[in-house]
Amino acid sequence: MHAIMAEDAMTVRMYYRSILEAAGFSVVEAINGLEAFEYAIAGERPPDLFLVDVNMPLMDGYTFLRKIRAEPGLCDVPAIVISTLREPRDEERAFEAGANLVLVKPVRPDALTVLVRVLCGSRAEQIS
Amino acid sequence: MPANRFLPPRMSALQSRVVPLRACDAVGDDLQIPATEFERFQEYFYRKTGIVFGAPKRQFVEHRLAGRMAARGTASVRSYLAFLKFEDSAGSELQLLVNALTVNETYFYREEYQFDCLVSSILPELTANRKPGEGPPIRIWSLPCSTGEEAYSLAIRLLETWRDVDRHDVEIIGSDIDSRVIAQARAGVYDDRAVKNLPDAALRRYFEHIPGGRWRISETLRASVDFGVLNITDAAAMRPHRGAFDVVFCRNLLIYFDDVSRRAAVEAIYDALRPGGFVCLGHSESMSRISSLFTLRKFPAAIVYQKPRS
Amino acid sequence: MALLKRSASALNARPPSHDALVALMRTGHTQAERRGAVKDLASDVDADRDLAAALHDEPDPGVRAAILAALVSIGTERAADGLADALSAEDPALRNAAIQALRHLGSLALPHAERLLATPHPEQRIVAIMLLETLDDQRARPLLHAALEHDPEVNVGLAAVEVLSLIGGPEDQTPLRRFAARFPDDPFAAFAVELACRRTASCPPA
Repeated sequence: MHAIMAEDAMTVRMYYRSILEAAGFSVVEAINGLEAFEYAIAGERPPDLFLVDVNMPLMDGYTFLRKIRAEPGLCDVPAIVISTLREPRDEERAFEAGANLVLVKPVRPDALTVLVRVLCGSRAEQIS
Repeated sequence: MPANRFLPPRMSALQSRVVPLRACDAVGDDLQIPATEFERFQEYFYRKTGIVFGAPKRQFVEHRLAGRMAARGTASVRSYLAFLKFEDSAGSELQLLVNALTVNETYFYREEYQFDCLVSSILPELTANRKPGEGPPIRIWSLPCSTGEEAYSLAIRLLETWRDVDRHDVEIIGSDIDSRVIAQARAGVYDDRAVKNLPDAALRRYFEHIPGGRWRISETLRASVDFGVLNITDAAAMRPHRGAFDVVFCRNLLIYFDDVSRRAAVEAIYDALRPGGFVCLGHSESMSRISSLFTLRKFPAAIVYQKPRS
Repeated sequence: MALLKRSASALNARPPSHDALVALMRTGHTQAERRGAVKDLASDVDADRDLAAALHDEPDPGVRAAILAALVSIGTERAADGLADALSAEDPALRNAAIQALRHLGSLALPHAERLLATPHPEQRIVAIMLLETLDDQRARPLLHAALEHDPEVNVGLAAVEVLSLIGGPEDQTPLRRFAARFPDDPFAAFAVELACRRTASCPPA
């Protein structure tokens, strides 16, 4: 299973990388939505999961989600948004843009692990 | 490029892109340039050209700077900078300085998968709605063009493999900040190393073998490619090129710049393109940390960037 | 032969007047026209107010990118003020772009960082911390320490931890650990502080 993470804070990337790797994912890190999109398109096959921050330079999380949902090869890939924002409006925006799940920081490792397995579980079955 | 037999031993620690010393270069004494003076120089050079040198290049830059200072007869960086700022009105010393510090490593058909992409994907898309012989020429920019290998490679590749090459007019332009390499590009003379990737047929068709075992681009081809000096970070110099180009090859230039100048250079390229035009970066380069202006296009032979049509 | 040599450019290389450029920037029909006007105004220090006003109203991201770059290039206090106004924009793309731009203006960002640190909105205080990354040590450090030791919102402190991971030194270890002690139930806080301490331990002191 392969994940692409879009997050501009290095420490945050390291934290989520360790959780995802423990859950059996290989992880590619991107520092903004544009880089994540490029990795997704350039890859030989689509990733199994996107983990997306909202506030990133050059391309924020919402714009990234809208782009992947408009892209034939990527529109079905599960996407989890991890956000510091607590306004209900922002959660709505994330779902409208195409998130499958919105998690608010701090995210506990065990919670994220369970959620990615549930979200990507059926996909793993489809692929194998 | 000639063998590195003139490199003094202390430069061997430098990384890949090193320009070997030519016997004609003035070599300064082992000038110990104080750190603050060197920083001041870097700041000045960055302001003028947008180019930033990383720590590994420090010795190289110091040595070249010392060479220019010796040539000018100035004993300190301070007096050299003063000369540049107040006495070099025609900019000829600045040009010599830039020439001494910029590095040009190239050969024919380098990273040729992008030329494949040009012929098989980009040009068909650009000419899809153009009737043969009608409309403005397709304009392709090699930037920086260095000693001309990329620009001439484009010409040869189009003539050899683009089946519509006789149906559309094409202009190929090469630009570089270094006046010396522009002169070499116009002369069109190359050694065996530079032409090693070319198919024999192309070598025979477009080059003459000249005394000294070198190769000169045919006169017709030399006359077909337009070379000129240009500093991409100079807004006034870039202004006439707005909306002029269909394809820009900008390979391995942006890596020398820092964030601000890199962004400025990419914006200048964006403005120089026609809507729907394309830019090809170097193999390991990406727009993703520079600008979100362009659309990513994945073609069979390459991933390139496109200026949106509207 | 289909290859042509290009003739010297016949384009008029001189840009229009300042007022004409401002009008074109505001009302030009195409992105190219408005971007062109912005690029021509970027070399005019007196254009800072007009550019800042245009930033507020411009919907096209391509023109906005040019305005942001022009404001950075002009680099006056008014230019910084114009960028700072965009820090509270609704649109996250504009907000983030303004942060990146303001970071390039060094000490001009400081008064804005200080102002934002005093607001009741945690997102704005996070923006303030992000601005501090490119400021020199002396000014940034006390503000970062204050965030670590006193800010009630954990994500503000975490932003400070991130900045110190990149630019900090051994003198930051105590405030870092104090922050971790204030939020013992946050797994990420513990992780981030541990990482920052490891990184700052190996740096020479300021």
